[in-house]
Amino acid sequence: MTTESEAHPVPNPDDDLLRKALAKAVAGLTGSGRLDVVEVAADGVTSFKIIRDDHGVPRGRRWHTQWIDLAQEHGAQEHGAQERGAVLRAADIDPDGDAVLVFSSPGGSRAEQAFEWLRSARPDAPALRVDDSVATVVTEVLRTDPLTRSYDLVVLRPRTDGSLELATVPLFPVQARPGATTTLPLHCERGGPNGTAFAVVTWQGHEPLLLSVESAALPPGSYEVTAELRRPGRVRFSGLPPLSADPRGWAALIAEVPPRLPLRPSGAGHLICAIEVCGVEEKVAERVGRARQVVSTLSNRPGLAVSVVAYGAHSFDRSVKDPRVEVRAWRVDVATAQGVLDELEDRGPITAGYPYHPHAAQLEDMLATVDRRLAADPASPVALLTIGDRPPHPPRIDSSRVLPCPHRHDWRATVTRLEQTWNVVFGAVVDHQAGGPLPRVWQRLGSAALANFDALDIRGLTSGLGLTSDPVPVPFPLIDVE
Amino acid sequence: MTESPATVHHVTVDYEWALEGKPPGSYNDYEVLEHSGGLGLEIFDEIRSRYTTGATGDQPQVTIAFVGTRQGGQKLYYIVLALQNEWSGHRDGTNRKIYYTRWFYVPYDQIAGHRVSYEALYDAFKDLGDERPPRVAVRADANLPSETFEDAISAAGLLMTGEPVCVVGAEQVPMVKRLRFIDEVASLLPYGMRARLAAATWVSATAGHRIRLSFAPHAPDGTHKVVWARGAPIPPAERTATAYVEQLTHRRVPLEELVERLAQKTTELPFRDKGPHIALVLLGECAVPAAKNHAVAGPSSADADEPAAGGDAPTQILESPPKGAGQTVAMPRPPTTLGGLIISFRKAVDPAEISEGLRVLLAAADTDEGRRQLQKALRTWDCFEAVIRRHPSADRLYEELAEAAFAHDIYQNEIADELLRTRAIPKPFKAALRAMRGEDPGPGWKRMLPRKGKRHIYGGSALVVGGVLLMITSLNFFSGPDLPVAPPAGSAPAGVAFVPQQVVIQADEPDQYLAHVYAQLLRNLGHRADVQDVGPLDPARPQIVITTDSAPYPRHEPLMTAQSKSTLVFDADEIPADRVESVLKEAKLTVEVGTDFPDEAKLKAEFGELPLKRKPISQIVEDIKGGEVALAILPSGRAEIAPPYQESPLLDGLLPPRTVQVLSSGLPAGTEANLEGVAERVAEKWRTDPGGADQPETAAKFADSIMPAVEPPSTPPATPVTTIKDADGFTVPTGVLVFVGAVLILIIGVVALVWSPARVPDEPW
Amino acid sequence: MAETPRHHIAMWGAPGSGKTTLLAALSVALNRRDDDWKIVGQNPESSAYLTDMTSALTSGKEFPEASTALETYQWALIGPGPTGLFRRQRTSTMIGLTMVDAPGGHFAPSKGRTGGAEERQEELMANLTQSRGIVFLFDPIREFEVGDAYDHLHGPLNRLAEKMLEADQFENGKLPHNIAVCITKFDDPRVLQTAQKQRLLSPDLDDKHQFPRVAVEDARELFRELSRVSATGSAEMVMNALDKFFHRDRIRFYVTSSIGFYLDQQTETFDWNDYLNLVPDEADKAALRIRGPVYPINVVEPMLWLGECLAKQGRSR
Repeated sequence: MTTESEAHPVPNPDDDLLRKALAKAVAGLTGSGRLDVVEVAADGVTSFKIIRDDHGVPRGRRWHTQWIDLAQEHGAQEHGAQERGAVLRAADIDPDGDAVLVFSSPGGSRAEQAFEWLRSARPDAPALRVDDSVATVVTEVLRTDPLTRSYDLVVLRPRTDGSLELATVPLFPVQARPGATTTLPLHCERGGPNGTAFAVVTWQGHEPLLLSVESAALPPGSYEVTAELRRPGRVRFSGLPPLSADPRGWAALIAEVPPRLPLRPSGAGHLICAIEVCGVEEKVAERVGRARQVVSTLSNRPGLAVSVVAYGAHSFDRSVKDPRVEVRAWRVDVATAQGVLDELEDRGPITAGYPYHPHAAQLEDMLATVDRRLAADPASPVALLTIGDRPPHPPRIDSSRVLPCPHRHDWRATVTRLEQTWNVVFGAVVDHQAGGPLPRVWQRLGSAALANFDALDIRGLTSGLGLTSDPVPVPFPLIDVE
Repeated sequence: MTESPATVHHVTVDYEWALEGKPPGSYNDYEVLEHSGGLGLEIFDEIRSRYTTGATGDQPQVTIAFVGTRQGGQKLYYIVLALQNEWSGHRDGTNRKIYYTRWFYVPYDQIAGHRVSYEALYDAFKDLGDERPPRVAVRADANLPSETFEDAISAAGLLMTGEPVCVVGAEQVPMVKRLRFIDEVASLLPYGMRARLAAATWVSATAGHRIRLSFAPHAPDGTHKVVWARGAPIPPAERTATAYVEQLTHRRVPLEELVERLAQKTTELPFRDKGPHIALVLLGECAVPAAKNHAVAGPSSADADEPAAGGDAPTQILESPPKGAGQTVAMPRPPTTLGGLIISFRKAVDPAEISEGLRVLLAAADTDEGRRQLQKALRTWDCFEAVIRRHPSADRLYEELAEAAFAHDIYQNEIADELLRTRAIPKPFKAALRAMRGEDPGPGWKRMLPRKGKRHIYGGSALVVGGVLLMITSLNFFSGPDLPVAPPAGSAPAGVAFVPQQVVIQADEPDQYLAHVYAQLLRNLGHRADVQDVGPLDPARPQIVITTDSAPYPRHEPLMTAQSKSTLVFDADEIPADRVESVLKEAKLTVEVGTDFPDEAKLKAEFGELPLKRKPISQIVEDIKGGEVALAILPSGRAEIAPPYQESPLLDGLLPPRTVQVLSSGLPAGTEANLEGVAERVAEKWRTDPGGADQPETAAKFADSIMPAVEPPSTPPATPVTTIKDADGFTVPTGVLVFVGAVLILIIGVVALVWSPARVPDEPW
Repeated sequence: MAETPRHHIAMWGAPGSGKTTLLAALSVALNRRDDDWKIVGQNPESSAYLTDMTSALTSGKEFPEASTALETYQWALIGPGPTGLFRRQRTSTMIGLTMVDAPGGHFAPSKGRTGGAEERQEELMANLTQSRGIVFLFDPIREFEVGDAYDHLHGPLNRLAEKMLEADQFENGKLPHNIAVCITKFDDPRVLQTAQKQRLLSPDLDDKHQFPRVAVEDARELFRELSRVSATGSAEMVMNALDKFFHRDRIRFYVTSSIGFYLDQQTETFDWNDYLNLVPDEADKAALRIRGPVYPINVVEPMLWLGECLAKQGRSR
């Protein structure tokens, strides 16, 4: 953030004196205080009330009362106390606030008299004699008042696991003067109906206060945005298409923030459905039915590749061969995938009864097979949707007394490798009865999208997997996006 | 056997019940979970543990037992029915299946007289499950069997010996059929015996169970074995059992009537001591046509005393005098007086005259009056000893005499007692009397000494054994240590002496080949064996019998059964299929048959003078291969019968299949197991070509090929006595050990003679 | 054939401690050894039991049912003759065994004097007084969960002592029996790990399967260790009771397992990662079936030791 030096016309000496006095006074103005600037001019008394709003931006209002008005107030003839009172009422100086008295009409006896009264009323207030109008100087001072609060821009930062975190980026520090600019790289996603909102906020303790918000429909992409502090309370952004004022309040903006960064369906996407085909006949049919539902909702996505993998239970009897994990289809289009799923449903469970293990399934073997297949063609982003309910076999004997996997596959290592090397997104549909915590494996396999077998929210699932056709709008710009 | 419901007569009975099982997940053994209030828990628990059969597994079984209880001073008998192995759906603490057993106690007096069968009881209770109706309707008047089979009769007869009976070979028979068999056997006994019958549809052969009539894979020793669907011989020594079977088979009333009248005899009757005799008497009454009965002084009330160990109720023993005496038939007699016959008999000289005279005499003495007269005559003339002595088979005559005279009133008969006491009465006669009284018929000299003399016998025999041992060991001492000491019986420590056996092999004419094969096999196993035909042998002597009918050898172990069927083979080129019959009729072509072809007569009868040429089967096979023969009769299914030769079914009806059985008995377990091992190959060989011309050599060659001669595990007779070395390494010279043993036995003998042991141990049952 | 001396050996243990399974595994264990000890039934029903039980364990893969009656088997252990220096020819030794397997309930303390319990005790005592060999089974899993091993020991033991005293069969103050204390269910992970933690595992080097074994000397230590985790804490008294009533040199401890460990199919060796030899049965969720082939551990050794001790004493009943 670079700050330029302020460009100023050459000031004449007494203007400069008044400006300094006013600037000091305004700087000294705290959040709750008030500054009165009374100008006794030839035509009357002008009183300026300057306060700082919640954002610390100095705001001024001006009242002007003509001399004649004053006279009418206390009748033409008698001078003395009533007139003094009227002048003071017109000046309306807050006794415990700050005040600055300015005399700007040389020679006028009434102004002199009023000035004297004002000075006597507020001997502590600085009194200045200038020869031209104070208004321009006041507005000039207010406009160049250094910030008493830092200004931040509201952005979204994606966490490692894909969820989005609301954050702010500091634009202008305290004491920044108008004209200061900061440039920062931002990334914008589609912003929905109102487009992407650029909201400037100041911090009230721990609470952000919306200072200003402007938005525009930006095509998704990265931008080099320069923010310029026009004056306190007014920031202008450049490097962007023209922004327009945004009626939405802070609560409305926050409400539109999506839980996680929608994957840019940039590539065609590859959905792998892994289905447990052992156990009770109806359960197998139901699982395949769930898979078909997911695939059919994505049928309108262009270029989506679907794979179907089926796995059963280990056999622990020498004479009975261990059923292998079957890759029924690899990177086929949706229609073929549905055909394969129908075959799977007709075939029903492949392993039943003794000697197949009743309490676990070949989950770890399925993960190893998927890992091997992805090593062969690591093309597009991959989403693995697992539909089943039995836990995997552990690599070694452990307290669960479930017999270890004959091939000693370790499902934890495989899941981590899938996540890191092929950045696979994990979704799971688990038939998990309430009661008792969800086993660790399903928490890992359902990290991106976890759905209960009975209450299946297809849309939530597909969007979690980043395969949905209509991405979720992101109201704020994003930073730190790889 | 189902009758139309209308005619089925029911009787409603009370019952007590108990459920035996384990609470789910229990760590303890089976117990009585719940029971009805009528009887105390201790009775349920005791009957449950007394009549365990050890038949575990998930096949439902039924056990029948009885219990006698004293309730309110009055004796009450219950018939007990146990439905076993009902899967409870739970598992115990160590994951094993829990099976329920439902016990039902039906008061005996409520079903006695209604001819209620065990199957009826089973049908009444089997579907109750957990409901408990106060009373249950049981089908009565079980329908009467029109005919009965030899296994039921022999089982009933064997029960009369007082020892348990075990039916083997019924593994495939469904449980209800086995229950029906028990009913069938029980229907051949007086109904009263059902109050003392313990039976089970399956038992574990190795469990020390107390079931009197049971089914099992093997019959443990000490039980009579009945093979399913085949009769079983009654040991000749068991006179009552033989008589019972005799009466059953030669009954003079239809079976229905016999069973019906037996069912009326409802007083409780034990299976031990006097019970069988009374049963025999009762059967006698029921087995003769009712019309010609007349009152005869019935046998006096036998005191059916029964020691507690016999499996009766612990609380008390029941005295049950049999009800009214049965009637015996009085046959119409020729007028000549009995006295005259006796006089004429006494004059008889040559054997024919003696036996004829005796027959007439006994026929005449068929009435009670006649019997008493005969008994007096026996006493006066010392059982006609002077006359019968001259007859070659005097013993048999004495037995017949005793039988005829005392069969009907053997007890409390002063004349019988007096005859037993007088020395002049010939021994076989006394033995017959004692056998009829049910005492141990044992060798005469054992009976000679008074009962308390038994102890002397033990002492004496110990003395003899000790002396012999002492003599052998002392001889061994003086003749130096290296002379191998023959292994004294019994006391040798763990070392075994492999004593080779002298095995006799018998076979009918056509099975000589097999006999020679087995002879060679036994020689290879180190025994001496030779083929002889000496007729029925005592089962104890090691022997192998090859026969087509194994009925007369119930106690033998089946080693091998093989069936061979021969068919007619013809050369299709020479004789088209349809002309085969006509060619046979014209009897022009010769038919080659095996050397021991048994059915030559049949063929001749069928086809007249059909020229037969006898050749060893292997020779015929060569001819067929060479194509020189047109017609031949060979064992069917031979590989060599290839086209153009075909098998024709023409003679199948004529040539019966020959099944040959090889049975063994008395062989050591190891040898039997070896022979069984090769049985299959022997059967195969016998089926294909039963020996060429010189059968003994080919048989020997074949036997050597399948079981080479093995050097017997240890050298014959003088095997050195083996001793297990002591932990600290020095060998105790066995000679010394045997010497010490001999002296010890001597001392025991002397002590036994002098001092009477507190109580001769009661034999187990 | 000369009647060989018969030795009575009785099985003693709580219900479900594995008595029938141990006998069932006996013939399989003998087949696994490469010396030529073998077991032969001496009557048809005993050899039928051997064949049925062996096939149940090997092909049927199921445990025997809870026994309901007291079973008696007549077997003969036939093996190589004594190999002494002076012996020229080798003769065969044959030990006639009468095995008595009573249901566990016979040993349970009888609640009240119910008729049945009295009868069962009589039947049991008749056998125990006759036998000179006892195989006492200690089930550590049951001890951990229920802790009633001592209850199943002291009742019958006192009754036995009373009967032996009455028949004046004591040998200088102790029972004449030889007793092989078998700690069963060594294949259960909890027992194996206890042994491993106490460093009692000593691998048998020439065992091609490299099964973990506990040597006879360490078995007593493992027994003491397992007694410490008893549910009722009464297990320590079992050790003291045994030492009181039996001669020190006639007690021997064995760590046994009837079904042994599961062997990796390819390498045919013990694998610490996967050795559980039980698999749940799908049909009946709670049921456990035997997974792989059966490698009984220390099942034959107690029988041989007892057989030799009894033969040495020349005691034949």
